[in-house]
Amino acid sequence: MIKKAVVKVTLKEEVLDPQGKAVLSVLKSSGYNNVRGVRVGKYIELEIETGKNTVLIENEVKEISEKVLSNPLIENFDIEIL
Amino acid sequence: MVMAMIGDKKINAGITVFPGSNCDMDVYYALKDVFGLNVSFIWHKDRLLDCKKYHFIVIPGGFSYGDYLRAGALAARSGIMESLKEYADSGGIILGICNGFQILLEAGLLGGAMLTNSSLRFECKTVYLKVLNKGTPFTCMLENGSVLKMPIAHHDGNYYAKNDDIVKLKDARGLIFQYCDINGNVTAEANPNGSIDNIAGISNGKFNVMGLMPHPERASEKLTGSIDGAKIFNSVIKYIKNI
Amino acid sequence: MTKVKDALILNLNGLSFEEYEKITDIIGKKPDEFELGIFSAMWSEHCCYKSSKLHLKNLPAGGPAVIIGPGENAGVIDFGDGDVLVFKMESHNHPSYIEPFQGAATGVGGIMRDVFTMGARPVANLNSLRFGSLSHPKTPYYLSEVVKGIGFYGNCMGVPTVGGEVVFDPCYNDNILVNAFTIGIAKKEGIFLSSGAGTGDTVVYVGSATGMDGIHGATMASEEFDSKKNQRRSTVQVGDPFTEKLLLEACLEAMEKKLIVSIQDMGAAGLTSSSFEMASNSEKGMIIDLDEVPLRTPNMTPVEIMLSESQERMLLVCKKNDYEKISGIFKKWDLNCRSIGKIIEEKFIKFYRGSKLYKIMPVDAVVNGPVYDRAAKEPGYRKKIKPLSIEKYGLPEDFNIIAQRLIYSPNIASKRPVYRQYDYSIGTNTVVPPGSSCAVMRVRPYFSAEIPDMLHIPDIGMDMLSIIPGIIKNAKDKDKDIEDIDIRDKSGGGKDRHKNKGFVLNVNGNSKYCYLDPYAGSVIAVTECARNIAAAGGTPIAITDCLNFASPEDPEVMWQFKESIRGLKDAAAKFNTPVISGNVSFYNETSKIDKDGKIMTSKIYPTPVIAMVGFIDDVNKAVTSYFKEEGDEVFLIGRLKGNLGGSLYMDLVHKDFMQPPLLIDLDYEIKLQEFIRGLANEGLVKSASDISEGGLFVALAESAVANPDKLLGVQISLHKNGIRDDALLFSEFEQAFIVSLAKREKQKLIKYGKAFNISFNADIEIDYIGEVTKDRIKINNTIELKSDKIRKGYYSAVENILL
Repeated sequence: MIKKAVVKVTLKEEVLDPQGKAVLSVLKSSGYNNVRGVRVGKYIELEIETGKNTVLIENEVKEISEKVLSNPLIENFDIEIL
Repeated sequence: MVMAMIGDKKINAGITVFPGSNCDMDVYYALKDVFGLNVSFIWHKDRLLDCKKYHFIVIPGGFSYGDYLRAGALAARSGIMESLKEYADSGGIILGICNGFQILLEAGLLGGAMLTNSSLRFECKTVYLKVLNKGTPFTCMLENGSVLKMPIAHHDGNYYAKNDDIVKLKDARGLIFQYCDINGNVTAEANPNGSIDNIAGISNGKFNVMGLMPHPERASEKLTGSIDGAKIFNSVIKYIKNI
Repeated sequence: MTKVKDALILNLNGLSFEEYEKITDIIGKKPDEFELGIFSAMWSEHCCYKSSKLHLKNLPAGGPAVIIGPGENAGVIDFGDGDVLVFKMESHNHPSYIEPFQGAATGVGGIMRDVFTMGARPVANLNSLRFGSLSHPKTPYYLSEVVKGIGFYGNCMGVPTVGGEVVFDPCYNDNILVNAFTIGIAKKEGIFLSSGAGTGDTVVYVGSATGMDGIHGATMASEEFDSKKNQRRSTVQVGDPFTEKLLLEACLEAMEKKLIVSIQDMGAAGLTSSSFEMASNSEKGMIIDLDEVPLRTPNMTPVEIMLSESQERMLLVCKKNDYEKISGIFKKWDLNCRSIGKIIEEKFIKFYRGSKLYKIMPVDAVVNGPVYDRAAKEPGYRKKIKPLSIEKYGLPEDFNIIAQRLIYSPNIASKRPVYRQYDYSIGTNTVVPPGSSCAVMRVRPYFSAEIPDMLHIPDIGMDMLSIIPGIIKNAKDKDKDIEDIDIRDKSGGGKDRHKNKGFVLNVNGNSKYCYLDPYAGSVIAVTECARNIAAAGGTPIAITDCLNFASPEDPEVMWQFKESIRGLKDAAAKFNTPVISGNVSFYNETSKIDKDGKIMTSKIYPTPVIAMVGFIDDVNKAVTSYFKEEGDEVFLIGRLKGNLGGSLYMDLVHKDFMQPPLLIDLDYEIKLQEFIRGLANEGLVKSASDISEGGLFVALAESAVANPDKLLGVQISLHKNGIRDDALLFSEFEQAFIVSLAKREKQKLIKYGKAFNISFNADIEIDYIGEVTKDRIKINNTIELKSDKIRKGYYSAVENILL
């Protein structure tokens, strides 16, 4: 069985996000004054062959996210198994 | 080629080649044709069979794996890096230039991370660098406080580390180069990418691994605008000769 | 099929009824969707040059330096010592208007592929960009995205972008232009062509898999044939420079090992044009098994596979026995490599699907599209062009204000905010980077990333642990200066190679002048390229061009095109610079329905863009355009006419530029440039600049503020009988240069001038006009400006447009 996992990677709160800052300033100058903050991140889809044991994949995705998809020094990640 | 010989043997330099490396040939040319070293490429799928073959190894600039996930991230997880870690642990000298610096950070051989330039743009320009620690193989022919002129060309050179780590880095004298103006003043205007403390180059605690955003190989001949980059390579050569 | 449906299909395929009938005649039946798709792609203006072919034949294309002229993927010139330079320029206008980032990126990718397909390693890129008016709301977006796209692709490939031009004009509001140029270097015997395939050879597909990228009319037409099929949309072509970098290295490696017989990149019309053209050029046929084509999108139809413009793909032919070796190389670089067919004797392409013969199509008929001699008529607007009587216009009250408006105009101001986004120093060949009037490149040896056998690397014979630094031993003789170390001045490879040789590049076009007079405008464009090369100390060698025009079906546009070709031909012949490659981009026009329901068509001005390559014997002698030192003396070399017709000054200040531009005296020009080149080669001048847009004032002010290392000024006193100050300062493309010399060199210059005029029977005037000063730009008693202020405005004008 193939399952889909979604990993969202964002910069940590304390790290300056220049892209988010730039988007925010464009939104403000376009009149969207209610917008308080913008963070830009990455959205990554994984297709995983699960075999019989579907419990293991959460751990595997977590490991992949920690070791490859994000840089723990500057980024956080969020996992969703669909 | 007197400088580049140890006794009657040439100095051996290795240059790693990842898919997407694009300064590999520039470094090769500089080390071989300008400095007269014995140079060879190291393919990313290989392991370093015998570290002792190399006096030092350069990880050149480029867009390894297209820099598609994060600059340097995928190269840092490729086969050769385990060998490079062993090489570094055993005291081997590694210079990571631009993308090579990013790879060293991602591989954990140096501390910190690179963010996108504060301008959000690729920046190609000539910058000035202040030398902060002449006590490394890469700077042993320079003086602290002296100013070097070198080009940069990168999109993600905005060095980041936590405050505590910056303090530790400084305490360990691992801060090697800072962006400055022509007179050596470290100012906000002289910072091309938003790097914390204008950091342009750092080393590990043993000083045998250095990452540098500017390109010394592009500043190794008068014809291409500056020979200040040559001072870094000459330092390494001299250091190896004096061991 | 009903007539209405026929018309719809033809419209979508871009074919005329006559062409449709001709196809029906050729294949003896009404074409089906596959056949129609192939014919319409190959008979398109883009692939077969049906409206331009007749006229392009008039351009000079041969000469002693030319090794390969027009017709191949790129032109090739002899660079001496067994080296050749391979170059071409190509447009990517329409895709860049649809999606500026990807359009520009894939344009750069495509032109680099054209060059390395020939076996050359790309060593420099240029580009020529046209955007709409500064007040147009989308101009900042287009500019920012196009520049990012160009940087994204070129930077990742590791090919320096060393020059170009950026022009803003309302005529490009609905049709931006993106023209990209690449030059590569190869060995004469290492050139690869799309011809020469032999019967029985293997046809190999390499590179990215095929997806739905850039499939146009044909796909939509096919929906009409089968309405049950799901509606599918062609997608924007997306560039993957990382894959292209791998493709470059893999192709060059296979070429170096002599494993490739012939090769063609999959550019416009993808697999269709590459397979048919390769078969045609080899005078053979081909079997293609469509099932073997690597696909990214599943279930693509045969016509979609054939018309896809997915990027980073090549078609090559190899000897059957070499396929395994080729496959090994591409595998090493993680690229697709698939044998998809073979070469056959009969001149047909036989397509297979599901192991069965699917279609047979004749090579010659598909490749030899129609050729038209389209009607041409002088445009009506030309009647409004009147000789300029400058007396009718008052002199400006304050020249300082006008001067600043000119130099801060984004068409004049520094393009640094643009070119700093391009890696111009990679490759370590860039001797003169962007910021001077043209780029100067040296050529150092290149190495393929061949991995050595570890056993052959000598052991360094010491214990690695002993070189752990820890505490650095202070090198005893560290006070020995860096200069003691042997930094070899080595720019060449082989023993006999001219080690300091280099080449000089620049690109120019002036569409406003081409609108006023396409003949004169085209002559100016070629002349301007040659001037910049001469000023740097180089000799013009050859040209590539991008001819950007509106619809050739409009006789007025066709007239512009023919006149441009005539100008290009005359100027190229005079400068002895054959046109060895290039491209034509028609249909740069957009129709819109206005408020009253009327159809308004906005057409671009005729925009022939010229890129010229010159040689320089010794790159160490290259001269840049900006002043070097306070106290240097400034001279005007040449003559001033004071013709403001069509100038930026007339446009900006008097809002009327409908006057004839200056006609260049080419005989005088040749001698003048020879003289300037001589000054550079003699090492007499420290800077040299021609007079282009914005006139003498801009040439002087730029020379003062463009030095990257220091701020300078200039003090000038210059009067010409019968020329009033505005005409003196702002008239454009004058046949004159500004040079600066070290203080005591004046006599040498005069002496050199006398000797030159005698031996060349020339009449080159030399005028001392002033000197380089510290921080003010002062000209006669009309202009006095602070250099630092001008410099700030000059460097920030374009930055202010960027997002």
